Amino acid sequence: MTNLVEGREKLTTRSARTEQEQSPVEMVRAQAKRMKDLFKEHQIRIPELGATIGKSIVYELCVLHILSDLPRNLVMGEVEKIHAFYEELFGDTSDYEAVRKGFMAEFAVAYAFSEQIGYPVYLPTPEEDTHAKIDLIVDLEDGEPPLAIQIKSLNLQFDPNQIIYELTDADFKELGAEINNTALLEKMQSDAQAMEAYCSKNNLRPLMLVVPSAQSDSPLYNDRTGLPVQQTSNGEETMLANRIYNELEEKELITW
Amino acid sequence: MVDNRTLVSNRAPMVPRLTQKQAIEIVRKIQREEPVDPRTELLPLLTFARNNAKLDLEALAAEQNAPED
Repeated sequence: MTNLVEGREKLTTRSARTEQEQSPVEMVRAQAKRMKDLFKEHQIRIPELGATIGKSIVYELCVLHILSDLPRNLVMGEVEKIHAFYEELFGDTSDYEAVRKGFMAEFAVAYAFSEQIGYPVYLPTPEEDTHAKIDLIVDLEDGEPPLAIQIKSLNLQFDPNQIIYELTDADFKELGAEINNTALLEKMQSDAQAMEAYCSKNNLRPLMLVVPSAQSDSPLYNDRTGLPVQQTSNGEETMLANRIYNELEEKELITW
Repeated sequence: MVDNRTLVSNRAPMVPRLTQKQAIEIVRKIQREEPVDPRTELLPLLTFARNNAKLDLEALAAEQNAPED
């Protein structure tokens, strides 16, 4: 028997992984490094692309988590490739972390509205995004103007009383008491004013949504997957969707 | 008000998909230090590069720049 198989190549033999062979994640990291070097050599500043890249990540997560029929493990593999690419491209991890934190919160809110509560969610135009600071537009399909939503992801060491704010003085007072950070509150008020001015001219209803980040005591989303934190094992219910719906109802924004 | 807006769950890609030729052309523009648009050129280039991680776009651009024999 030994003689018959001697010198033959085994059908199932797998060659050992050589140093040149890379995993898909290693390959995208290597590609990101080539892009980073190219941009650096020609003075293209990567942090300035953060908002543009972030928006495209929100869209890609929508495709992966909402539209694709891919099994969960493949979706997660693709999401990890996105993070690996941009982590390497940005180089300074904190730059990408800031982008990721904000845009993962945007996706989580889009997912909660679109997939769990069931309202159509729209992307803002570039002008609305950049100048009016609008992150998402949600149509409550009640004949009233759509909601223009600004999303703030904050590290909160407590569970906030409310997450939806209507940009009134009373709401800002409440928000100020919650976050207890004057500089941050002023920045949020400034962004809110830009949105309010745009909305009043363009028939939109402005809202601010404050989402506790993954580093908070009571996080509402996962900052790697972008998905809202699940309340049940099948993921059908999340605290984020429940809180959004309940607070919209309390504020009498849901009229049917 | 929402008639012409893009649904987040729209199937149309938000970032224009590039061909390899278009990606190489943007790399060459960068190498020539010509202005490039972040939304319509850099972002699609990055997306193309990520989805085609095996391609060395700079090397391909250099090949195209090389004088023919």
